Amino acid sequence: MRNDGADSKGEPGSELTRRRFLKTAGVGVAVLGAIGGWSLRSSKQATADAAPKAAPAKGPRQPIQRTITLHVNNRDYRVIVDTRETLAEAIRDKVGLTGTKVGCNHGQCGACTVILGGQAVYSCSTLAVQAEGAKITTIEGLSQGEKLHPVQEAFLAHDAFQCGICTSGQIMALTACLNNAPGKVTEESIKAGMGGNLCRCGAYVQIIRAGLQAAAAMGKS
Amino acid sequence: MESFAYSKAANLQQALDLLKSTEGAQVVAGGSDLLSLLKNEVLTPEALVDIKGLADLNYIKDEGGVLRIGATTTLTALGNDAAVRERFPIIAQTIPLIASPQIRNQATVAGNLCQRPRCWYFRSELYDCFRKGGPTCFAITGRNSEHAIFGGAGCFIVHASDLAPVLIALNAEIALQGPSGKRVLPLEEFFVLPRMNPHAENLLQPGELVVEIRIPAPAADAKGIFVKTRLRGSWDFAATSVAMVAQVQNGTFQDVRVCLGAVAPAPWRSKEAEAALKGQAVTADVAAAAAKAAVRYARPMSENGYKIRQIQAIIKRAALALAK
Repeated sequence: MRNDGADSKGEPGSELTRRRFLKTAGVGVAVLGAIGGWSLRSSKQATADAAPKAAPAKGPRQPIQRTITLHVNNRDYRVIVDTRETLAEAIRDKVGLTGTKVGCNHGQCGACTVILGGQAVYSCSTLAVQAEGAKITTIEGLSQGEKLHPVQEAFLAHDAFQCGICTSGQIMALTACLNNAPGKVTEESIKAGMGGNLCRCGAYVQIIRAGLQAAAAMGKS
Repeated sequence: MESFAYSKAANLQQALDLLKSTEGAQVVAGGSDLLSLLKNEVLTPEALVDIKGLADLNYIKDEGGVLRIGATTTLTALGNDAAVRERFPIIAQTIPLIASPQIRNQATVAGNLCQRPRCWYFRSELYDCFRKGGPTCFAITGRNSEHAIFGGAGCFIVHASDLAPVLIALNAEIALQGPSGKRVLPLEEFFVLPRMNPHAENLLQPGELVVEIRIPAPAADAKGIFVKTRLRGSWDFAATSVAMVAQVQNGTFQDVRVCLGAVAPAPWRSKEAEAALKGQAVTADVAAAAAKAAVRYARPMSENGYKIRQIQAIIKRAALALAK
């Protein structure tokens, strides 16, 4: 319902619509208060000049949503996401798989690690819309029914966690590390492959032991 | 994070068209740097144009002479490539020192070169710093332990890329494509100092994309090394780094290129160190003289004097390793 001047009636210079009046009334009052002696006409000019500043051209941006298909753990999930949503947020909040954790949310701690297209990535640093069409594996997709993945078995056998917040990320990073190892897995190659995952409880020694056991179980040692 | 429109380009031409036709558009590929900047609202683009995985930008072509690397090649793919490992071992040696495995799986070569500064004032939504168009650089009187010892003026960021010094030492070129066509320039000239433009780290124009990196064939007797210091051993941005590529015959440096990282707002070619090494049989004394020459014009800030000692130590280490 724009009405700025086009169908205003009366003399030129008086085209003060209700909308613009409400937007600028405060400024007008302030100007009047400051220069009390000015005529009404002067104050009108002052409000007209102040109007562009008081009413910025663009309002807050509207959220933009997209319907996408995420291929997670061999299932397709049709979800509506905001373009701003990270893959971690979409996996947790839209797909409903909360095994993936968000720690730092800035690609520094590794808690959100998932396997995307066969490689470990930080799901907090990937947009959900960018992951459409890619094969995604989360911690929930590792076991086969009740049978745990060798990396999960090894984490249990070696107590490779304490509080557990980093564990799903550690397990996904280690799984990708072992899957993609070109040859024999060593302590050094596990350390290099796991460098992107922090554990504040300090379970690193056990994680490396778990890695060596899992590597043996997967025929990589 | 401010809301944005998102479109995935189907090919390079569509990406260029989208960038040209969409006001306030920003390119995204791996996203490992960009998402942090969006979350902190350092950048608030109105639209993202996704070029991740574009087949016409994701390649490594070994043409015997020049090696061509497509812009969206991931760091992992670059480090695993057989031709890169055989012909440019310095690159294969550098890749594991860049970021973490997860980031290398996402991050692209062009993204690494175009990454924004790590300066905490630049990255924080609380500081309207000079680089972001504000009145002043807060590092001048604030915390500056990770800031520049060379080339600062108005702004004292360091360029955080590890790959850039290596590619500059290898005399690489960068190809850019935009609305007014394609241009190729030496990678060294792609980066700019604050005195040229305090708001950007490179010459990339609006609507323009990095499309390719070209590395010329190295001399048969060329050897290269990259040395990096960092606070954390597992992964971290460089505190200082040096890339050195030399033609060495019987311990004598016939030719050498030295590029320092994380000490200046752009990768810092050290002509002083090169002059001190060139034509010399490199001994511990010669290496020390080159290191000293490299920092002759360094201007430390209140908290980053350690960089002068560290950069000298790694220049010496690099020169002696190549002399062997």
